[in-house]
Amino acid sequence: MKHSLRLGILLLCGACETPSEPIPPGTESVQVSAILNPALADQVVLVERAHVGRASVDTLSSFDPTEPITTGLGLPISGARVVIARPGRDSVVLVEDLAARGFGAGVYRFSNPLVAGGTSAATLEVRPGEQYTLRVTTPTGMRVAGETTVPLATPVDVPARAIDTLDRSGAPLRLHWHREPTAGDYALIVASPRAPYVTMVPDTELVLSGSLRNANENLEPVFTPGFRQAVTVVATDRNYYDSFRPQRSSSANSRTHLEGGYGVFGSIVPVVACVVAVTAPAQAAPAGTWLLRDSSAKAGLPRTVRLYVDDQQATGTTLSGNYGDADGQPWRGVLGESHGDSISLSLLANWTARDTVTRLTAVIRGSLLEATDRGTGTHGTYVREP
Amino acid sequence: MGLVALPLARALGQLGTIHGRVIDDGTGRPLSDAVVQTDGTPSIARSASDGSFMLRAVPNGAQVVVARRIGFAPARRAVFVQPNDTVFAELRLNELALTLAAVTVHPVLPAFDAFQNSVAPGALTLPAHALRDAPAAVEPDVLRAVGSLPGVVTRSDNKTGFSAQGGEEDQNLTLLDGIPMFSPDHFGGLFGTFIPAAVDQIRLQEAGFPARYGGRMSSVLDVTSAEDTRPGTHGTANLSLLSSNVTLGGAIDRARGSWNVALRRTYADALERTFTKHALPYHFLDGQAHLSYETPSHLRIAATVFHGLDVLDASMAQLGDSTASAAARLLYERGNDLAGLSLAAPVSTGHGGIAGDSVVVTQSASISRFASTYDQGAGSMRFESGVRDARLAGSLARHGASHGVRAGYDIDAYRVHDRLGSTQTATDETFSDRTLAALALYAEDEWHATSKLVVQPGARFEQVSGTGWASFSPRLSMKYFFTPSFATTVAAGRYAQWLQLSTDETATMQLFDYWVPSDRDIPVAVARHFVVEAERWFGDRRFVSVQGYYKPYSGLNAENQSADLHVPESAFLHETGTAYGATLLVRQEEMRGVAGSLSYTYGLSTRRHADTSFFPLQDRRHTLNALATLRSKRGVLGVAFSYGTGTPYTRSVGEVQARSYDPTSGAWLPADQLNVQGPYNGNRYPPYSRLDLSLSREYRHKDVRITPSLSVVNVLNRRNVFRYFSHYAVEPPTRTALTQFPILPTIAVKVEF
Repeated sequence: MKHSLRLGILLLCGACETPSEPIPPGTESVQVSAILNPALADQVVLVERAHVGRASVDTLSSFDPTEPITTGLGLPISGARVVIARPGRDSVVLVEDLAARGFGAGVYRFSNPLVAGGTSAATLEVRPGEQYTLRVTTPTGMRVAGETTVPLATPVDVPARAIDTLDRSGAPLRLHWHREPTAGDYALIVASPRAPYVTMVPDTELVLSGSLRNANENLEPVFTPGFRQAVTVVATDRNYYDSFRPQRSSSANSRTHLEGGYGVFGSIVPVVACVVAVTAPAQAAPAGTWLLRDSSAKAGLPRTVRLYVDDQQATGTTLSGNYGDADGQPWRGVLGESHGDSISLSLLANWTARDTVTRLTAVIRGSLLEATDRGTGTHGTYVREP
Repeated sequence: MGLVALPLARALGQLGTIHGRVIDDGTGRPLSDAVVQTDGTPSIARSASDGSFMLRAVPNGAQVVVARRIGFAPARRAVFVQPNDTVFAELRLNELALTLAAVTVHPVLPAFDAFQNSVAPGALTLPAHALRDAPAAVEPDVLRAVGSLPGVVTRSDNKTGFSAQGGEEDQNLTLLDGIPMFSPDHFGGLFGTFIPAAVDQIRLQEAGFPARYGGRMSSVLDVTSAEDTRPGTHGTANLSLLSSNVTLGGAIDRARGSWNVALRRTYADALERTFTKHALPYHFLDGQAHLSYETPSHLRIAATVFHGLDVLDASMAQLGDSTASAAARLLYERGNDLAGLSLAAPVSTGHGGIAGDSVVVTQSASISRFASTYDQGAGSMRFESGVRDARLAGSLARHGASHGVRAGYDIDAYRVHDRLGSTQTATDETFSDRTLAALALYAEDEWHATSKLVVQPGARFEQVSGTGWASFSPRLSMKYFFTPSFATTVAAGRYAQWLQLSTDETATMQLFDYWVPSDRDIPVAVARHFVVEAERWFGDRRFVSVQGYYKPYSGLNAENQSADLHVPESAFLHETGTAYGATLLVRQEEMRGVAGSLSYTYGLSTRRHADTSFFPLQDRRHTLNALATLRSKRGVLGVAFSYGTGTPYTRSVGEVQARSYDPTSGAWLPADQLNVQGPYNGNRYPPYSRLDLSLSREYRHKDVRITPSLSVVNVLNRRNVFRYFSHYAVEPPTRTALTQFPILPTIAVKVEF
């Protein structure tokens, strides 16, 4: 959208853009990303440098969840001292993943013993209604401080185990919850393959149409057919709310309540959580369920691919769906595009566009789909299920 | 002899007034724009649209009044002027049948007329030819012409909106034939909304304006529609690379009235589609009509209608966004609509009970509306905003020998509505529909206290419903003539505004005009003006004026960029501020084909909200404008040069990579980049300069005049910065600049018949 506006300004004003020129670097500063969530065992704090032109960001590596800063367009700060405390009671010094596991620069972690499954030796209870402080000291002596009070609400289990179905062309998804008198604001978060959809909710009920689009992400559909998407409503504290609520400004200055740095130290409590299996009508190819012919079964190619039309774009049709094997492995996501009879598909490790494991090119010939693994050259033929 | 006798007569108090009317002897219709003067004295006036004129400070005794007008033989009439009295004179002019060769016309110029007869400090008038002859950026523009006046600051080439002596754009009261217009420019402010050929003249008063004007607190821009009183139908067609406009008009009922219709549409969209595969999905359309008529009983009726509309209708892909959904169609529309009717009737001609007095009653009704819609498509977001002003206004004006008294009222009923929402989710819907009414009563007097001193006291009482606000605003202007050609004016006044444009003080360009009414939380803004001016004329065609101003403000409302949409009270930052400065203007009206002006403005504006003090975007410290027009038989050459020191902006000093949080796994994912901002408007763009040239030549064929023209904007191709984009994710960091107009040659053809 910003890109569009800039282009629009250029078009309408007859303006020109000058060649880029070097400018002096800015002053070093720290960015912290920290949300306390009593529904989870592991609590993660990211500590990184703001971009001020003193180092270049890695834009080539694809996103790796174990290195969320380095591969996520950031500049990690390793070796920082990160302390979270309940004032007057106890505190924890977080452990950097890089030190504990050998990877995860700038990722600091502690476990909440109130939820099973924590992976860090450093522990501190995260309880609704309690106040916490954060102190970060970097190896170069920069300090960041913040505080939060976890909303007083009863957390639900995440991720939800029950799966609902949402037909994108059918009835909307309805959510409602009880207002907790001491909770702050509420936020809706829908996990989407490209970017989560986040919006603030002033009420205690929501009606979500299957055709909802994300105004902050190039109007992409929020619900992706063939995907399983977590839908969560969380009670938020003021810090989280001010950091993620819509603002006219794209400035980091007005979104933070931290002292000495940028980012957020906030807290949330999930009050509604569900997982929806999204479907859509699949009347004509390339949409449909495609089964790999037994005679042409090859290693690396999934047995079954379900495809849906996700969106009609200027450059073609975008596809989505899922794939699976007959040997009981879980279904996973597929994203793709079609231009006439030609199709390209990305097979994902899970449900996010950031973790593509295999790319296929394919051609539709009647009810057959001839697919080739672009990495291995493995070829297979799929038949569309009637 | 008269010039010598005048100071003596003044000194002795032996001065009188000649009030009268100029009439077409053939039709009986009043004649406007006739030059009226007494032989041997500098008293000079121009007849108004109803033919009336007034010559003040005329020495007593026998005088000869002469009226001249193009196309008519001069008429003379002897009168006897009594001290401190008014004598009436009617002059009937006969139309010339064949040649004008024997007639020497020396028209009084609006500026000189204003110097002699107006108490308004810093009021500047630009007639239609000045608007047309100035070098044009793509095509002539009324608002761009205003931008070259002293005290006026425009932020960039891409903006026709202007700041008058430190005020914000929305503080200018723009009137079309007396009807307020809310946002008189097109998308992004690139073009003004007035069609130049449909405009007779514009008059700008940047401070100290009289009590009859209200609702805005910075300046008054009075735009008057053209009235073509020639028999038959006449017209002008302008074709430029960007747009075409056609204006038609003529006299009706033996010149008892006139009509005028103008239309303009841009066609860059059609051209782009014709010659390339691309489509510029944008155009705008303006339409303006004006009708005036005077009945045999001298009831003057005038009606004006205006419609303007910008349309941007595109798929996101057309705007270059390859990732957006083609199904998502972006629609942006905005425009002004207004319509008004006014009646003016003389209730006394001065022949009756009150010697020398004329009394005119005026009543008008109008409706003015501005609306904009932005629909991001696919039901994802739609924003609608509109403001409407239904107005009734009336006045009673009595012009006597030494007093010109006017009393009147304005009643404005406003409706302001806005809606922001998505049809796909009810989560971010906001809606407001507010009405408010403003009542104003005013009185003012133009009192010629002595032959040297003119005083214009006035007062305005205003009350705005729903705000709990009512106020009394006194105003005072005084002009003292040291000599007939040298005068000084001082003025002071209080001005209020209850509708303000929501402005982003950090944005170089604002795409949406969003008017916000005052209520109990949003205060009525108030400004006070203190102005002093000295003006010296050299003959009746050259003058120098110097002006100083000081304006403190309170109750300004700026858009809060970090406002919470769910908390309406957070939408605005309440500001105070001051503006002060000085202007110098040296101007020569056309003499032997040469006209020009040189103006310099020093201005300093500050604003403050909470603990932050800053310079607003219009705070350009030094501005220099030079204009020259050289007219010969071969054509007209126009030259314009502008220089201004840099305007403020908020510099980006870094970026942070925002991250989104997954509440089900605790994972952090990369999201948008956010800017780290430096001090609020703490930096300034480099100085601005631009040299423009234009050349036109007129060809005649029978009654048709064809004028091709060539304009070159920014001849030196100076790269004036419009906006910076910084990139801090690389080492070393870099910056690119979006520049204002590059060198821009344009051609146009004007056809008049």
